[in-house]
Amino acid sequence: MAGPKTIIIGGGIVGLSLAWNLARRGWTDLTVLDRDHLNAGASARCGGGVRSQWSTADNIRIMKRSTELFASFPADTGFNNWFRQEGYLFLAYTDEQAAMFEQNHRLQKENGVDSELLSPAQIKAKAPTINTDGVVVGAFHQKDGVCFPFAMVWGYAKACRRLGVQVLPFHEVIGLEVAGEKITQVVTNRGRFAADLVINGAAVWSPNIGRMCGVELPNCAEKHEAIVTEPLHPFLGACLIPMDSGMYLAQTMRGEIYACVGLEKGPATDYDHTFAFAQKISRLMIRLIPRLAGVKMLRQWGGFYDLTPDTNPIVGFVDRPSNFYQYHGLMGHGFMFAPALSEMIAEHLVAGKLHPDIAPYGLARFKSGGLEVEKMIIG
Amino acid sequence: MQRFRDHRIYTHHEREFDRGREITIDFEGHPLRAFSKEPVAVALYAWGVRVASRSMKFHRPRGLFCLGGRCMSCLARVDGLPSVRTCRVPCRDGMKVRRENAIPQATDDLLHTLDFVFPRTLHYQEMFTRPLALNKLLQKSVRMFSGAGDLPDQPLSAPPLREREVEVLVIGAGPAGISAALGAVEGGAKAVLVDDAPELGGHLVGWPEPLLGAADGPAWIAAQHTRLEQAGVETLLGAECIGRYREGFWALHHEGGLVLVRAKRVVLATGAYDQPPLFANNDLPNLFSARGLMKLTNRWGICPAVACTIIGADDAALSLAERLPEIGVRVLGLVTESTKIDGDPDRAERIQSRGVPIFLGHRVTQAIGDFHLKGLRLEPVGGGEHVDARCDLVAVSAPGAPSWELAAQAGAEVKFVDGQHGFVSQADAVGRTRTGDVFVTGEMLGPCSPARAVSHGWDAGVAAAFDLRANDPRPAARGHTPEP
Repeated sequence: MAGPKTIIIGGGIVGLSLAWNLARRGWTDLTVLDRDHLNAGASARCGGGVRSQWSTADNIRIMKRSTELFASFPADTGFNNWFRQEGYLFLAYTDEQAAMFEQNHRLQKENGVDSELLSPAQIKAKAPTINTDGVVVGAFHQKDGVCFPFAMVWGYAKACRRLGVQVLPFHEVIGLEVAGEKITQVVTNRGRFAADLVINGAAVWSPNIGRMCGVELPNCAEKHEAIVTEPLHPFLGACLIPMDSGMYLAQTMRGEIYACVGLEKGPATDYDHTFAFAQKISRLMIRLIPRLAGVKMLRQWGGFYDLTPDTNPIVGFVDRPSNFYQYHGLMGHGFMFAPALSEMIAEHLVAGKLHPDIAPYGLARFKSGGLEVEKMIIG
Repeated sequence: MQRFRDHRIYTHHEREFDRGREITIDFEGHPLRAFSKEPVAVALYAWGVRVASRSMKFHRPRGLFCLGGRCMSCLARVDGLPSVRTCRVPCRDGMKVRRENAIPQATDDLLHTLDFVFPRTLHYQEMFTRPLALNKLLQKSVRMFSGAGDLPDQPLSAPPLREREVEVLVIGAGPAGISAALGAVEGGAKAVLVDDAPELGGHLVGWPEPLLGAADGPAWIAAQHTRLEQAGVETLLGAECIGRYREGFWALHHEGGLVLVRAKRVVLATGAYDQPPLFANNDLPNLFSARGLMKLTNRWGICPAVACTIIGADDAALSLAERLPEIGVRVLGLVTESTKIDGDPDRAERIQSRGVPIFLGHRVTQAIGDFHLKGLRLEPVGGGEHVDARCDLVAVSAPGAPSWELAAQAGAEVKFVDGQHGFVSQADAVGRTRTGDVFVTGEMLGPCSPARAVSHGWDAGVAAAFDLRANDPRPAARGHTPEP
């Protein structure tokens, strides 16, 4: 029993982690299509951050599970993801932010996440190089961490292929053929693929795929940019998020300082790197860690957040075509959510068990006004 | 205890070396005599410091290779700043220099044992993935050894952002770039010429052969220096272009700050990357690119070793074979996989008549030595008995890989061209790319001789200026105006 003939559109962490979870459950008649090489899209452009410090119970629970999956990834797939659990440290600069931290902290505790609130002195002790001027309070969770994003994609792809999944880069989907209620064929620039089930995991390009069979999707691409410096000997364990700017900054496994912040609001059309970003991020980085002044920037690049109107993902079947499953709209945190979400979705598809945490994410919710808004979306 | 001996040549039968004024630098606690025009990397090499740095992963000893700011073998901590390209920074009195990325020190780095434990390679992506406890241990130890340098000692303050507008910006001041700047002025434009090196001329600073009527590279550069002054070309040295931004400017890193240049036309002349040869142990210290070695010996007057083997038989290789003996280095021979000599045959004959063999149809299979270079192993291309050449110096003369990065950022088409050793910017006969306002010239278009670089650079410069005069200035690109 190899399961239905399933085509997954999008070979990022979303598509590949779902493919692996399906294949492990016996659905091996799977093909993952990507229009570019692996690691060309958002999965490789992100910072690789993984955290359970969120402001809604659903997100906290999902990320608690995902963190476990990141930690066991090397053993599960035979591929090192260099997931380093040295914590996420949020810094509040106003009483309002501090109140939000306290509220989140209570909710996180209730949901089994052992986060803590730190005074400026405790922050200084944890990360002596950082400037704590103006910091009211910090929020820290030791099990949060940072991994090497490319390795997650490589690892999933390799594990998928080992289970017999076809992973096909450079296959751009150019059409979907619908007969009656169902998609029957996925047409690419390199040939056609018959399908019993089609999964749309194309992130910001999902609306283009949806339109090929008359499904309108509300996703909007927002450009964010990132930078890395030259590699330095390890001096910073935690990933830092000063809430006044919304920047996040971490030292990677190789020692580079990675930082990211949003600049342009609204629908984006290009990935281009900008000087405005380089200037803004350098100032923020130096303000937070003054000794970074003089460190060389190696690269900067842009990537897309896949925004939805209520900041929550879009997961589930649409009414028509009936074999068209959506899995996108993961904002700026698809990378960290994908391992746990894919596990739940695979259970849903294979065993028919709809996990209560993903049940509210259907496309139909937008007709009734959407869901609770997540307040801790950063970058 | 490290011993230092000065390898500089202070008396040469026909040349003087312009090193600038005598100063003292501090190298890992040792005061060393240096000169104000000498790059730090050169001053250290002059004192016998062969291990310039340690490689990132296996901590292999690395020595100078290209001396052109491209190979990254000379990274060291300078005055509290990590990973400075020491071949690009002139010495200053009292400057403090220290090698990094070694435990406890670059000469005896314990982490080099990794290289012996994993002699083939290190498949770190897939090793020790199970059990989880072992995996955690692996991650912890890898983390401990990551990075190259430490954070700067002190926060630096940068000078304020500068902005300027120019008519023709020429990036790269080698033979093609110098000529392009002069060509642009001839075509009626104002030109600004920039380079990340502290002096004009690119690799020609070490080129000892006659060039377009000048006795050698330095003589040609000196003549151009005068012409550039007369033509009113502004030259900005020690200025590195870090990128072309879509806001419509080129960002230069200069004197610790940034200069944003809006240019109506740009000529890129950023040259080619010297390529390391492909054989085992190809990174041992004292294995140089031919151009790197020419700079070290001809420009800076340093005697690097006792016996040299030269890989290649083109003009640069033949030049080295003829001139190294003048500074007391014995040339054991030249090796090339090719069955014919690429350079001047008369010169090759002259060299052979002095008892220096040229091994045609031979390839190098490995460099011998585990810390110091001790020789090369050669083998006929078709197979057969190998020969070991015992030498303590190797020069590799091979076509460089064209640089392409700035052209690609500007929107030029860049294609992989096998016969031209890498990615080549696509351009018409005068170097015009599809962007309309960006021209490319010199070795960016594939290997070429200095004379050819000069003539093509001139054409590209003239074309850029004509193009500027023929068309209305383009509207400035959209984007923000940076704050001062």
